[in-house]
Amino acid sequence: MAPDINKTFLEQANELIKVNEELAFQNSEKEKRSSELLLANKELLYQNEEKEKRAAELILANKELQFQNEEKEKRAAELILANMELAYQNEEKEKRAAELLIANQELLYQNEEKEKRAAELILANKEFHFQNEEKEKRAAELIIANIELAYQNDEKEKRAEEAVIINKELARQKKQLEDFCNIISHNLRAPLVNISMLVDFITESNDEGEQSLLREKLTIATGNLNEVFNELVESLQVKQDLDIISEKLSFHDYLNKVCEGLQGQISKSHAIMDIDFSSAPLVNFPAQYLKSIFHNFISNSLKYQFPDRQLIIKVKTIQKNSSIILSVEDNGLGIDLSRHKDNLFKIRKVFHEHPDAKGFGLFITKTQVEALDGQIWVESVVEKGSTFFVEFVNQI
Amino acid sequence: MIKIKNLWLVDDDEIFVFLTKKTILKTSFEGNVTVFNNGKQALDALVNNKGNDELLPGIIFLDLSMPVMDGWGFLEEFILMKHKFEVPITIYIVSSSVSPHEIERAKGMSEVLDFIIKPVSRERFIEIIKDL
Repeated sequence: MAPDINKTFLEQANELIKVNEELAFQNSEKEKRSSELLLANKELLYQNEEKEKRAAELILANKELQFQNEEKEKRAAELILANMELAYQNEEKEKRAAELLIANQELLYQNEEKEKRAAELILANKEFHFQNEEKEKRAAELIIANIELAYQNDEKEKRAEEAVIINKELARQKKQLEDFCNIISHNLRAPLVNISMLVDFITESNDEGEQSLLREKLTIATGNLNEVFNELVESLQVKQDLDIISEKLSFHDYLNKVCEGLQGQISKSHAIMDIDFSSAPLVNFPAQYLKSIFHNFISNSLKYQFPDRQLIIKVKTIQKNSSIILSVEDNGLGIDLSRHKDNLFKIRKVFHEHPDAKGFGLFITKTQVEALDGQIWVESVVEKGSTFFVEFVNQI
Repeated sequence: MIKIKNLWLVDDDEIFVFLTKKTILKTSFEGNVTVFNNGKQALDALVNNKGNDELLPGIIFLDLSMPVMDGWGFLEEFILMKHKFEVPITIYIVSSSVSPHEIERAKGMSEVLDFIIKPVSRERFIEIIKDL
């Protein structure tokens, strides 16, 4: 070791120098470092202070945050509650929604059904519309046909009315012809038959006395024939006398005239006359006929009075539309109309056993009334009395 | 043959009644002739003599046109009561009527044996009365 120790020492001194140097360097460095550290320390201290300030601020901020946090937690709790409420409501709404959905589906289904029905109805409607149009067409045709029928109907009615009038006229003429045939066969033929028989008897007889008796009868029979004949001529004159003049006559005046003529019979029967012409005092009629009507009615009432009963004759007139109706009512014997209705106004028909009954008065009265288009009729109850009516037409 | 005892003449025509009675006198008829002036009188007599066969007529000559009750009226009433009479009553209508309507009407009635139109000749009377 001696060489090596010298050497090693040298080397070691070198190395120590070096280390020293190194250490010096390091020292300076450390000093640098230390100053730097001092600086850094100062800096750190400053920073520390700053950090402490910051920490204090942070604590404050932290407190604030904690407060805010608490507030937020409260809000959160409230929100949770609100949330729960909302959740509940939500559930309810969901349920409702589900229900509504079902209802909606139902409605939808119904809607579809309705749409189907509507479609069907539209079709049906179209069909109806078509049919309606057809019917309207038919109706229009029918209206035309109806008008035609109505026209034809009117025509037929007119024809029918004409036919009715003609028919009535024919019936009236037929009736007149029948009446005339009856008059000829009964009233004219009867006296003629008697005359011819009497003539035969006279011719065959040889007995003067008998012949004389037969001739007396012949005179009577001839008188009868004459009488009937004159009556018929009178009635024919009434029928033929289309130009007879009507005048304005006072019912009162003509009734008075007739009553004067019948004064004897009226006094004898003590008849009470009840007269009322106030409603229709005047009539437009031939004077001769009015006199005849009053005469026949009044003399009939006098002739057929009920025995031992005060005779009351009521004469009055009433206006009815354009007609005047005269009525002559008595409380006399009356007539059995069920038996005599058809013959009452016929010639030579008498219904009571009275010597003066001839069966001419009512016949000629009817003829006169009908010649002026009027009507005559009677109402009667046996043993109660009769009322004769005359309608005078066209009295306005 | 039964002899007719009673013949009734129902007619209001005095001359015809007079001549008819005269005619009957000249026939072989030996019974009674009774005259009624209208249907009512004859009907009343029928009612009054009901059951008294001696007085009832075997034959009636009935005029049509008469006062109060004419021949038709009499026939209507007679039809209603004829079943009450035990003896047959023969009715002839004897009328001056030549109306076909009346002749037809008479033919429709079984109660009327015949319709004789006036004048009636003596021969016709003899013929009718001979048959009785």
